[in-house]
Amino acid sequence: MNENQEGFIPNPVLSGLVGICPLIAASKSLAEGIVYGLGTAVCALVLGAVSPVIRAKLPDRLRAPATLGLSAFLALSYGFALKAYSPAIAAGLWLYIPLLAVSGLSLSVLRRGSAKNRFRADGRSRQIDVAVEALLFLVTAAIVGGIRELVGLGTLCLPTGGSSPAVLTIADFPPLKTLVSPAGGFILLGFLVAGYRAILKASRRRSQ
Amino acid sequence: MIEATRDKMRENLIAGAAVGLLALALAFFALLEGSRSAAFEAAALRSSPASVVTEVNLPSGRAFKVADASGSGYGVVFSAASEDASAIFAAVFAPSGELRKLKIVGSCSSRLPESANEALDSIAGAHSALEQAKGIAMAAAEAE
Repeated sequence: MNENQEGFIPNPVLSGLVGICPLIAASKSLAEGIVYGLGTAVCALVLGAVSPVIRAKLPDRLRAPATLGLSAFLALSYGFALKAYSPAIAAGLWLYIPLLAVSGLSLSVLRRGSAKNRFRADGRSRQIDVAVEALLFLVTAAIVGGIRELVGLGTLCLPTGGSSPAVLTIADFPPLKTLVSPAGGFILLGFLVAGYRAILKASRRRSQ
Repeated sequence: MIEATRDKMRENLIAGAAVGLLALALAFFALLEGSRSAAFEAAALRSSPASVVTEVNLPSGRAFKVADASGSGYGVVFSAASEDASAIFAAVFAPSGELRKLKIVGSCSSRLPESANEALDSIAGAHSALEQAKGIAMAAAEAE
């Protein structure tokens, strides 16, 4: 795979399979995918920015509780803000917003933040890696949610504010309802992973 | 030895201050969120239509004493979500627990039936959420 190439940042979901269970459970529609992906990205970005400071200022034994406390604070704050913005989307995401505190992406960012060197071997800051990974997670969550809703229900729910978000009806009937279920979500994810790997392989062959 | 003890005390102080600040910030957020969601629920019940009289806070949840054409009752706002839909309902119960009114006040699906009772049937777990709401309303009636 291309992961070892200089400057390449793999998609955390499609390549590393990071945080796929809550992603599939939470991203049942375009709006939920965007909102869940944004929450995960924001938590990972803040933790990625703060973890070098925590490493520099706090002694070893305080680092884990401090970062987990901050992570829980971020997840709960995001949950409160989401409830104020759109109670219906918050109701749909249910438990998965507080669970952002221990999302796979945040934990992988924290693991990387605990590295002594803030720069990679090629001289690039690890913060840039975190920002790209967070963006890729958000885009993947939106794609997964959008495809599931579009093919599963024939609608697209937009992440607009208020008590009822705007919903576009594309088809009058649900074309393939199975895709909205967790099993359908994992089947879709399998196809996306296969497609991602095929694209990587093709691009590697071209570059050789 | 003294230096080590001082370092440990400083560490504990930092940890205590950090946890205290996080707890204070969270309590502040929760306070704001509590008053905001109470205002949202009161507005949802007013649109049911019923005039909201007082808020009744219980350990199990929040109810509102409401008055409408059929007399006074207790209103509860609850949400339910399934794989393909999520909705927020406003329900008004008589003090005996009888469901007087049910209305959808927010939803995240175009496939949800317009009738609140049909929507309740189409969302898995919505009936148990309604039962919980009924329990809160009856507890509020007893507490009054």
